[in-house]
Amino acid sequence: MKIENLTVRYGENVVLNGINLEVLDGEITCVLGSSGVGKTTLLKAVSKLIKYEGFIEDKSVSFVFQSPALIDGITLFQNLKLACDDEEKIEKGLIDFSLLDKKDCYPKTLSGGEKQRVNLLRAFLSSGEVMLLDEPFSSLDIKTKISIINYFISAWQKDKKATLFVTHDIDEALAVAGRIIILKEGVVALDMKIDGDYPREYFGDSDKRKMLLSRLI
Amino acid sequence: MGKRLAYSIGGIALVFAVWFIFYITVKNSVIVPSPTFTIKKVGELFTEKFFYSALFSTLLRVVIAFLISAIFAVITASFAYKFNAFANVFGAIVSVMRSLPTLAVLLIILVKVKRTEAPVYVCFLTLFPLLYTAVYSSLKSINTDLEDMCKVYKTPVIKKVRYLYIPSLFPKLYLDFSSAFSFGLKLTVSAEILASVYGSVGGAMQEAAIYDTVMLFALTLVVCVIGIIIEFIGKFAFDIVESKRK
Repeated sequence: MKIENLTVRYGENVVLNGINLEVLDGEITCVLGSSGVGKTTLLKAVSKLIKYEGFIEDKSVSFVFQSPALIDGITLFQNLKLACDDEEKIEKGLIDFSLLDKKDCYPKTLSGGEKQRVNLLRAFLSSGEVMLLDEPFSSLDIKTKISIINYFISAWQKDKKATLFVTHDIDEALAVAGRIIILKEGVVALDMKIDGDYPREYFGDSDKRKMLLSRLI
Repeated sequence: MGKRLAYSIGGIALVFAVWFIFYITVKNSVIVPSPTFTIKKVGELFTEKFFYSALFSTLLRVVIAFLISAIFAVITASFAYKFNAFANVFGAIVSVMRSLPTLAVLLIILVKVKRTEAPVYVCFLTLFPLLYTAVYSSLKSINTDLEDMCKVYKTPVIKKVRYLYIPSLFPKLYLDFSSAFSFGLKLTVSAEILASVYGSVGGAMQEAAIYDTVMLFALTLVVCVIGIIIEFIGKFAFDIVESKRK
């Protein structure tokens, strides 16, 4: 997915200022930036949920929201059916994400980690060509976070869709990214390739961590 | 459930106790009739044909006014939710409607409209702003992430209504709508009294006020009991539906 000269304004305030970016197939592109830098705005523009200037290649997307975005009044299975009509595919996904026994439960009976697994699974079930993730693990404790990152990586490796993942957490970015982009003051401040096979160790590469931190601040 | 029923019965018993104390203190059954005479009179009412037709005509007015208000409220609030300009214009209209003095409106309506229809208009003019506000604020309280999720996954409108709007709005709106219905009953009876609608519960109350206080109290008691029954059935049905959702 090509993004060219993307600008987003909220009134007088320019949040994104002429961003150029390409989200490639087979790669997780991770956008790193501190709070309020426009990470969520970038995803909302890419998914055409807000108005923007510039060019965004027209591709269907799936979206993992920061909050699980599940409807409380319907079961987990019915929530997943909103994104996918293929019940067999849903059942398989539920097994992969260890959620089969929760299929008829209502969201309010699930833990935070389970809800976020449903949120991820819904995106994998959808037929979107590009996957967008908006700080999906930010509200989870470290143990749950590592476990869900593993679910995410093993599901992603099956078809390796082009993925745009935004986060403010350097360790999270280093654990999932094939490429890291640092967003600062509405522009791309750094674009670097990250090597390494999956699954990676969380808190793995301290040198890269230090370098990214220095560029981020 | 058992505890709640016990509290309700306790509350009703307290009302009767206060009534009985007034009856003993005032010592004038024309002003405050005895609770036991009144309950007997209620029993007699149920053997009289006129009572059933009066009750039916009053309830029919409430149902008509409630349905028109509810349908109109859902349609206009949905438009307001989708279009900000409509919300601003309609918000102002609803504010004006909410501040209209009910009795003055009834007098104006009576100039143009039949006495039998006037209570329906009054009930509509009062219930509509309440229901509109309830539907609009419930729609506004839907999580924007859920709306975005439906847009991203291109959820068809029917699925969106069935899976997002109805489950999200049902609990709050059901309670708002059921209390609006019993409020509508009170309003309609008041309007019938003022408009002297013959053959209605309100009309019968106005006639009774002149020569038969026991009858007036009996009819009032019946209206109260019907209001309570409606709310009770509403809450009971709500509890059943909610327990199935858990």
